[in-house]
Amino acid sequence: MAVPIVQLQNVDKWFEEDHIVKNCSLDVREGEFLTLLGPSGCGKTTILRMISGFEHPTSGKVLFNGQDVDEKEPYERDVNTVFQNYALFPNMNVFDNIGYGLKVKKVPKDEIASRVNEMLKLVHLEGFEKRRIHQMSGGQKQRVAIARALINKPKVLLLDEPLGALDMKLRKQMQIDLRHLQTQLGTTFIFVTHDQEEALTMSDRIAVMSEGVIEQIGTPYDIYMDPKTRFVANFIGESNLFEGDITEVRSDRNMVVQTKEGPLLVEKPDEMLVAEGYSVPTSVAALTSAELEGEPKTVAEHAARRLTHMEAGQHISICLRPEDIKVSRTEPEGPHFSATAKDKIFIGDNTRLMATTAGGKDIRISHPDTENLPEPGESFYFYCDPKDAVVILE
Amino acid sequence: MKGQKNLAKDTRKKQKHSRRETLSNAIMCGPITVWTVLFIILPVALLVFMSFLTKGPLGRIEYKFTLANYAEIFNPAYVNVVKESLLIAFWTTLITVLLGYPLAMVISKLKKKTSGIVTIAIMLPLWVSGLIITYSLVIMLNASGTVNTILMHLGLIKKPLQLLYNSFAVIVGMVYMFMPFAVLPMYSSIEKMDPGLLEASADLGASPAKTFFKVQLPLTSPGIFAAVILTFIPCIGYYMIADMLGGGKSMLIGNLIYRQFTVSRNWPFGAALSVVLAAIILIMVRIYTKLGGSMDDLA
Repeated sequence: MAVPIVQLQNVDKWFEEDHIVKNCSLDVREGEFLTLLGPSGCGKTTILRMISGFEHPTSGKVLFNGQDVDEKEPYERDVNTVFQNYALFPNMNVFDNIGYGLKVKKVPKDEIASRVNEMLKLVHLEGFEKRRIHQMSGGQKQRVAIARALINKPKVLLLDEPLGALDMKLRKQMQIDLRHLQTQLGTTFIFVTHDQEEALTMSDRIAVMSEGVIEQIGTPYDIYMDPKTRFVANFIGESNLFEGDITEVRSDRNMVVQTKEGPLLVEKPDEMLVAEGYSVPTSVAALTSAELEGEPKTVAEHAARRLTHMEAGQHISICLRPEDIKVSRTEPEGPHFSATAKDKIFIGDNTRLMATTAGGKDIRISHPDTENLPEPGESFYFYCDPKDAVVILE
Repeated sequence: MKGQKNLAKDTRKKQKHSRRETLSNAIMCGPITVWTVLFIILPVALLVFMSFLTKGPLGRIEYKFTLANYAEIFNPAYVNVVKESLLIAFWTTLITVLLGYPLAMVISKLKKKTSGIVTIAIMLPLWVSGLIITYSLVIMLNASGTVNTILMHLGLIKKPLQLLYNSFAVIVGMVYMFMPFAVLPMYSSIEKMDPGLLEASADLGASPAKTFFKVQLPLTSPGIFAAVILTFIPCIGYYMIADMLGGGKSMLIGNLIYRQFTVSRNWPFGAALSVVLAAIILIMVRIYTKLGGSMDDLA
């Protein structure tokens, strides 16, 4: 397997008394779009700043192409950053901002001019060369910042919540544009955001972070469909979490889980399923049982290791996505829960049903078929397909 | 028709309102206006008026119009004084800014609490009488003073150096005196600058030196302009330091004016010199604003 372009090895970062990044390990593959996703203050920006060189790990290593870069100053590193507030130079016009990286490297003037023009074309800002920065709109500033960072042809582009200040519509457009740009150039992008929808839209892989820990790394599909921790299940999309004990592991790989609401039939995740959770080929990816012997890198890996030894009596959580919940007005045959509908909201392509279970838990159901959903105040039954239930072990 | 009527009513209301505003403005600005007229505008007018009068015997003033006072300034001896003043102000400003800028940078990097203490330490000379500061410098610089004693103890010199009563002493005194005026505006402009811009520059591959000259210096230039103005201008007119540390050898415009009103008792010539000094200062401020400086930064 090729050497990852950027690697974090057991990185810890303390700011005085605060443990901001806790033993994080991460491999970034050349050419991928990797997103660090997590709520604010989870340490994702600190990780980015350790890659760009503005912060140094308290312990652990940052490697570029297998080389430790701790000694390298930010201006010696082959990465460029698109900053959260753009950080464009107010004393220069658009042309000089974009050409800055080349100018400080003493590139000849005519080459700077042709490469700046190339960049302006790339970000659709032809004709704006002489504009002052304060005359540009937020979206235009964003494009200048991207062009300025890309003109150095960095191996890795770091983006620190670059779309945070834009309005919704522009943001959506920029998400698509950025993704196209990344595919077109083949540059490795490391993108930081707290917006899960943004992460799902753009990324090849997502690393979900919480309180300084990488909870899970995987493709958007895996992260959504197969969250390995309660945090990931809650943070990515909506989920209904139920806790319970395994009472029986059947021969058909289904398990009966006794929750407060009653019994639920869920499919037992096996080693195959765990491996699928990491379908992207990285060192984390092909989790064979041999590799599982090594030091686990993420919370998800810890969990994955335990998933393979599942047996009756174990305490687990079950994540049911709103769209995976099946609703019935008549009592179904298999294991099921009962609930009372509270609110029913039609939102176009779907209808959302808010309900309270017999055990007093609030749940959310999403279903395209408005007609057959119970009305507020009505009692109903719900269950799920055993294979749709996601087992979380923490 | 009705609309027009309403409009007229509105206008009348507005007029009434604005009349009341004028009254309250007058009450609030009245005292300071009287003060300004009495103690600034009138004296300046008097000064300009006096600069065109003739000097009589025994320091008396004769009310006869003349331009002789202004012509007198072109006497080579006095031209030299103006030159010397500008030169000393120039060196003082240069040294103050060159020493003050790094200091301002260091303060801006300190934690809030520490930077507050350091700022107060820098402001301290402003709260001490200039006379005391000047005397303490005399003690530091004289033949048996602190500086010479230390240098002799270290064996660097055999005989005490002549540190006092020359332009060197004047410049040292001036730099000491005006350092706070230079550091504060530079500090405020460095503080105002987004440190993210320095990171962006480093991120794009600029060495610290390049980042300084291409990003930090241009962005903090308003503070430097303000520092230059706030050092240069008082420096031209400040006579006490030149008097006590220069030992009468370096005569600056300020000293010259002071003498006209005291020893020489030639008030009209002193007035003419004052007007010229004021003109030099106004020209400096004009250059400053032309270069893009803001008057707010000087306050």
